[in-house]
Amino acid sequence: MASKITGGCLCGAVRYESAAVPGFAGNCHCRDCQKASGGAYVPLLALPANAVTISGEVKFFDVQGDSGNIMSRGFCPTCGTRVVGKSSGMPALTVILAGTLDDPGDFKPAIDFFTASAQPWDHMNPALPKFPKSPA
Amino acid sequence: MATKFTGGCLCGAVRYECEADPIFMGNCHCRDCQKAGGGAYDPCIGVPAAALKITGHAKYHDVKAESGNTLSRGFCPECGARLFGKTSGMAELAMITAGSLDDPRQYTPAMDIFTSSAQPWDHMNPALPKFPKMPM
Repeated sequence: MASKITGGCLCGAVRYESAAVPGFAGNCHCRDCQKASGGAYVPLLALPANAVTISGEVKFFDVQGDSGNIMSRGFCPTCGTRVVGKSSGMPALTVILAGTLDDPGDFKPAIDFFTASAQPWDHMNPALPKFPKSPA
Repeated sequence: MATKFTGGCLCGAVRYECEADPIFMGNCHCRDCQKAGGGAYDPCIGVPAAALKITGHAKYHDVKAESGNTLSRGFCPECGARLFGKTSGMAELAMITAGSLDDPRQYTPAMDIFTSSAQPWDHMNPALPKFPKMPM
């Protein structure tokens, strides 16, 4: 992984950076992430929240997940790009979406999770371990 | 054959319905779609614009595409969900994201486009025709 993780939204109004090493990288296939992104799954990178600097205005929308925790999905109010996320169950972590990285090629997902909700057209890498619900 | 599509955003503020023959269904892997959705690709359904009925207010963000046309991506300003697309090159065409469908199983992609921009972790269905740019 590059020494510094940087990225941002499509219009450039929201930018983030972190010098931390990601603690977790995986693909979430839950129905809420599908609806939020419009896609099949969301590729996520988890970083220590206190090691991520975000500039620009981020709007958060909260939904209670299956776990009972509140998932806060943050997006740019100008262009709609979903950039960051937080879970009330893991306040020490900030999650960023790999598609918004300046160098998305560095993303190396370790697992697919919430695969029980995956769509039939969601073609997953067979080499990755699959978790029907949360991997925790 | 006409299909009835219904769907909407994560918070319910924006809903849509459309009863029409889909014009195309395919996965766009361009860098703008990656950023806008935060993921690997946008699973896109093209429908006649006149057949798409939207309730609620979607916000649009415009980007000049490689073609020179303006691509407008529509999202819910409350929850950020990725919903719609329009192109200045074809006013009769409207696009919806498959992840926003009430029944995403209706999506049956016929191709992958802009695969020249796809990320190494973007695991595509090998059975679908691949187009490095637009399918022309």
